[in-house]
Amino acid sequence: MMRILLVCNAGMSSSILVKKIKDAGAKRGLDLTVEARSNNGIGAEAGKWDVCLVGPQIIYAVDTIQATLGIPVQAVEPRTYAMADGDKALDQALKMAQ
Amino acid sequence: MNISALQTSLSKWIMPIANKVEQQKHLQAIKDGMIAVIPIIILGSICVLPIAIANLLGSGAIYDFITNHMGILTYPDKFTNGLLSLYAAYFIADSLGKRYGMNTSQLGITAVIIHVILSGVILDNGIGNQYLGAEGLFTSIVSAILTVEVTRLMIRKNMVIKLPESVPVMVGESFSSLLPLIVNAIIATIIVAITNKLSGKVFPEFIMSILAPAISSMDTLPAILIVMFLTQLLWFFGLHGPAITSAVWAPFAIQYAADNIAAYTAGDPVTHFFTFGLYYTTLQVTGSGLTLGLVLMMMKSKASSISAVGKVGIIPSIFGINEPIIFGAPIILNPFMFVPFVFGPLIITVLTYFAYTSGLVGMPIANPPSFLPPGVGAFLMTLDWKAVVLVFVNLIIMTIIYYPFFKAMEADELRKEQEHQTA
Repeated sequence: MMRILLVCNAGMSSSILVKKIKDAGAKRGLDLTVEARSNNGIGAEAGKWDVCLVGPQIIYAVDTIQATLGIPVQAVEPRTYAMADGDKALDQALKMAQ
Repeated sequence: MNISALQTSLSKWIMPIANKVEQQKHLQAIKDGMIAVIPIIILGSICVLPIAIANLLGSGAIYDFITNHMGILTYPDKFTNGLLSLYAAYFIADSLGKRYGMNTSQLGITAVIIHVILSGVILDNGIGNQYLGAEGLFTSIVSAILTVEVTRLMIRKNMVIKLPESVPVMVGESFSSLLPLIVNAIIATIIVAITNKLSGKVFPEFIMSILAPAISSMDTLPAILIVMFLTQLLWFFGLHGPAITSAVWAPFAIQYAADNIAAYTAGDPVTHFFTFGLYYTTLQVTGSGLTLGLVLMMMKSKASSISAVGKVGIIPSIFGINEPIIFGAPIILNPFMFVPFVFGPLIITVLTYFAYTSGLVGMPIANPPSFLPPGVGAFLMTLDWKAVVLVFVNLIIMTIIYYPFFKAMEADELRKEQEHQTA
């Protein structure tokens, strides 16, 4: 099972992507846990996730989040984020987990 | 310098600044802590409703019922807004502690104790709470930072009681927090005694007298315009504007909101314009850059790539989330969108400022929940239908401002799509 954490400022815009990634995972027969969180409470998430995708609007926080969580952290590509493209975001998460 | 060179050099500047602000633990903890008390302010806002309804009615059976039972109807207000700074002290200390990797709930409680020592007033029959409400919010920043920094210093210098590892974690934790608690309490007591001796004031009064110029200057048109401009500029470069700038302005805007509610409850004049609720319900309604009109135009566009983004973005936009539009249109680094997106909201700010401060629209007397459809939040915030009209006037003005730039962007996109087809 793979656990993907999505983070943006309030956990709102990234939540749009959550369902899309789950759908993409279901189509491929993958067992996924996907949730969206606010950057403010990120300290409580340490140890719970395998990879973390960050909304491109808080790309400046990638280093801080990586230091807090100690897992691979990357910003989602802007166009993928805008269109809530679950397939592309899942590809990115899978690549990061390798 | 051409546009793209300007963009590259600005990006080089902006990114490290955003990074620095994000990593500044005190600023972020203050912002986190202040934002954490917003649900409490919203609860306090609900308690204000009976007063507002009575004021609207002016007479009649409901008016009589409310005025006769005002004490019980607004009862929780005294313990939510009335003690707001206590909760802020807890949340700020908790957040700062977590950012330092000190994961203990004891820090928050110590900060509350220190805050009461610094802000409580001894009366003949108990403790006075007049400085524990909205006016004590800035003191709670001091209480929280003092508590965490003193505790952290003591841990670093090994000035804590350490028990053998076989002792259960809970027991160990309560012992290790004992010395920092004692030292913090002694420091706070000394601060109270000294301020009292030197200035003749209680500590919160002293803090407010120092901060008064800064506090009032954030509620002026030039300051708000600077906030709006920087926020939009950051977004234009693809960074979350309010997440970065609010580290500075949110503590003020949240204090203004709480202060307005307290003033309204007490029957005093409501004075603050730039409240947290006003920012989201009116100045940036439907998302940064007030993009609802732009989204609607995009949905109807003949350019298929533009209409696709519009259709994805419309529902989130109604709830104030416009990242799909900002990254999809895209607005970021799009020369067509620079002028309307960065400067349009400044016009809206000026208009809104004068609509409110002239008395045309009722002042914010409550703080509504975020992420409500346009107009709903503005009504809950003011209970004035004119505030709702203003929201839609703002959205229409922004649509007109976006229109010519959108048309130019669309024409450019159509030309590209045609080239793509013939190629």
